[in-house]
Amino acid sequence: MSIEKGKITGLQLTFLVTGFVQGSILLVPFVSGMTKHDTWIAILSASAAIIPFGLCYAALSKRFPGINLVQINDIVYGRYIGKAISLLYIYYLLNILSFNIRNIGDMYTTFLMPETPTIFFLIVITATCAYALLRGIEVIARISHLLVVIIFIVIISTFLLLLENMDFSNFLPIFDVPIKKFIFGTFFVFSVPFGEAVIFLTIIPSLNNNKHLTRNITIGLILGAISLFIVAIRNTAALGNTETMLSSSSFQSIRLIDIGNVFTRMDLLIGIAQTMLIFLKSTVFYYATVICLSQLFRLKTYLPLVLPVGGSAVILAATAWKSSAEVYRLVNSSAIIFQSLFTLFFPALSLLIAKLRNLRKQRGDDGK
Amino acid sequence: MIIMLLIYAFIGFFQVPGLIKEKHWRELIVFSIFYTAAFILSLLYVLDIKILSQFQVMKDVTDYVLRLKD
Repeated sequence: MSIEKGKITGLQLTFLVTGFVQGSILLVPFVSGMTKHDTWIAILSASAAIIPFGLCYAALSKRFPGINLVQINDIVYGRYIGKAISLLYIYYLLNILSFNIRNIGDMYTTFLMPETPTIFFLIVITATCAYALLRGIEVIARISHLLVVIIFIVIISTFLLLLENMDFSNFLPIFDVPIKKFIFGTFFVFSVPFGEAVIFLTIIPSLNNNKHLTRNITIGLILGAISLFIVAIRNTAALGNTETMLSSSSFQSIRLIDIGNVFTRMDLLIGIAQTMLIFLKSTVFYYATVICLSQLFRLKTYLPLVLPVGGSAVILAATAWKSSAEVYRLVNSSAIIFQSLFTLFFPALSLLIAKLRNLRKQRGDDGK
Repeated sequence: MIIMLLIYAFIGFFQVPGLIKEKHWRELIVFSIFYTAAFILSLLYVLDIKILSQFQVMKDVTDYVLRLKD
């Protein structure tokens, strides 16, 4: 029996994936700190590298149609090891959920409302995500259309408005960054904004028709990559080397817009756009966490877990780090390797084992 | 502290009667476990007792497994 009764269309899945990848725009400054003016190359390289993994996620879903990540783990690794891996996934999902909630809280306290305590924003954003979750995946998928279109409008319009402030010589010299830093930056983009799409293995079972699944995921990833690419180009061209010294290059670059003293102080636009993006991304993570937990405990519905998991996520987010310097230290560390275990290693291993053992979802097998 | 207690009281009143009415016992047990965990975490936070950063744990575990140092 499926935990989620709602169904989504292929197009909605594409928009969800796009919005999900766009949700990492807030992380572009982290990458710029490593790859400097070569960030755009890092994003391009990571986009090319993620396509095989996108195909891997799609292949896994097609091999096990209608069942989610926890059920796939049970079939591929066996009941006990599968459950252990699923538990690790839940730990990972809860952490990434709190990371994203904290990001939006920090953005508000740093740039928009410095007097307000961060915990207030954490509670508000989590409550909003929880409300969306209580409405079901169909509602989340429907709003993704609207959010993605608005974000594209914001990205393209700010790019055009900043054109006169841009200096494309800021991209020179190319490949000036030490190769080690460049590889780490590329791996970061590869593993975080793109690799995190692995959690769609919990949403794909709700797809009404997975005939074009590979196409839906690939287009979603490409559209998301294009958004990150435009943002990276805009920030580097407008800010140059100063970009690497700023905690939010998007905010600073948008503050440069001044058209006839009419279009000024448009950073609020970025604030709204990033709130929408993180909301969508956090909701998807939140959904994946409660779906995996419900599946692990074989519940009939995920709804009773929404609020307790949200409460834990708020506290984990509030205690995640003390200052923005600390978050840079944590992001620029081996924690990213821990993350790639879930985004890259396990899905690839699952597909390999499934192929070698010729495992498929049997008719009537619900993966328990 | 009072706000936190009110929030958790609201969550309890919002969820528990429905689960009992529909005889979803398994859901009630799992809900109770996570509800208690979330409540304890919140209580520790409100009382200003140090809670380990999960990201630091993630980093330390990876460093230990890969024998890396800062």
